Amino acid sequence: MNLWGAAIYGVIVILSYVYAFKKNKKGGKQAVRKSGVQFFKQLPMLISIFLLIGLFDRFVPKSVVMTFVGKGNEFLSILSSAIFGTIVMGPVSSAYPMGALLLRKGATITATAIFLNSWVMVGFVTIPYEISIFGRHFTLIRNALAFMGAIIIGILTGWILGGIAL
Amino acid sequence: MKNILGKYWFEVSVGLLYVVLLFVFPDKTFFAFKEGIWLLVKMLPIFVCVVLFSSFLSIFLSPKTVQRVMGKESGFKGVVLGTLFGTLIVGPLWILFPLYRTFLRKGARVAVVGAMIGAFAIKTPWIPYAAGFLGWPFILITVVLTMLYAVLEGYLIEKAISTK
Repeated sequence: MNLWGAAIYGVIVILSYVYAFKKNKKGGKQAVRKSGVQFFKQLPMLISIFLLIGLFDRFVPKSVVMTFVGKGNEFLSILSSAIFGTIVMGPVSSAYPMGALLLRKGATITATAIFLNSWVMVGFVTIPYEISIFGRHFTLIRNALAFMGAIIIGILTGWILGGIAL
Repeated sequence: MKNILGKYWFEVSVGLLYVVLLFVFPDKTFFAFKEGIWLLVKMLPIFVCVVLFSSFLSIFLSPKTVQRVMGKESGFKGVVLGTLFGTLIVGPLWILFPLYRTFLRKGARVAVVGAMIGAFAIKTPWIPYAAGFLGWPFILITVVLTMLYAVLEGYLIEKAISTK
């Protein structure tokens, strides 16, 4: 399923590195080294996330997912996916497979989109740190706007995709 | 030991969860393990690409260039460019807060930085990966909407701050 993405991506990566090594050999080498470090730094987390997804898939019944983020209760599904997405923190690499799993388990498109959007847009745990850098005013406004945006974009996504499906 | 636990609390918890479940539901847990590993193997090629591309950007895209194109005089164009730049960055958002503060101190517009943070929700290097899981229509719609919202968000933040 990832074949096309991987192929396109591979070409982009090869081109960018051809450019890098032509322009600045040292910089190119540095980028490769940095990639290696990043890869092994993220690998343990990645393995655990996928193993957790495996567990989630086998042990959490579809009905539970449906209750919170399914079609039955639109308002509850919007609220719970936004809050859930705000609280969880983690690399996006784990957000997307998680979203796919939610869809497969019966979550609505809207709820899945809201969950993913708030995951990447709102940083609940890092709010104190953000305040220390930008100040209270900026931080609160930004997070409030991001939270609302996550919901609005999610609803629109569900609406557009639903329209296409119909 | 405590240090390792603190740093890898998530990995350790998942490991423990597996050990416990393996005793209670051996078959189900084994299937869960197999499924998890299979998913991981399937996404590894893209993951490698993501890492390579992010490192490339982080070294070859100089902040100086960025600062030049998003100063106070940059106008609407600057906000749009800030949005585009925001989509190129990957990594946890909070790591970049200091970078954004540098931009602000060097005279970047609040609207530009606000839009950039908003657009950070789009991670260009991750798009093919995300599409593999959720499908291209889902991702493309999300990307377009998020970009539009990021521009709006930038202006709203700037407005809210200046009328303080």
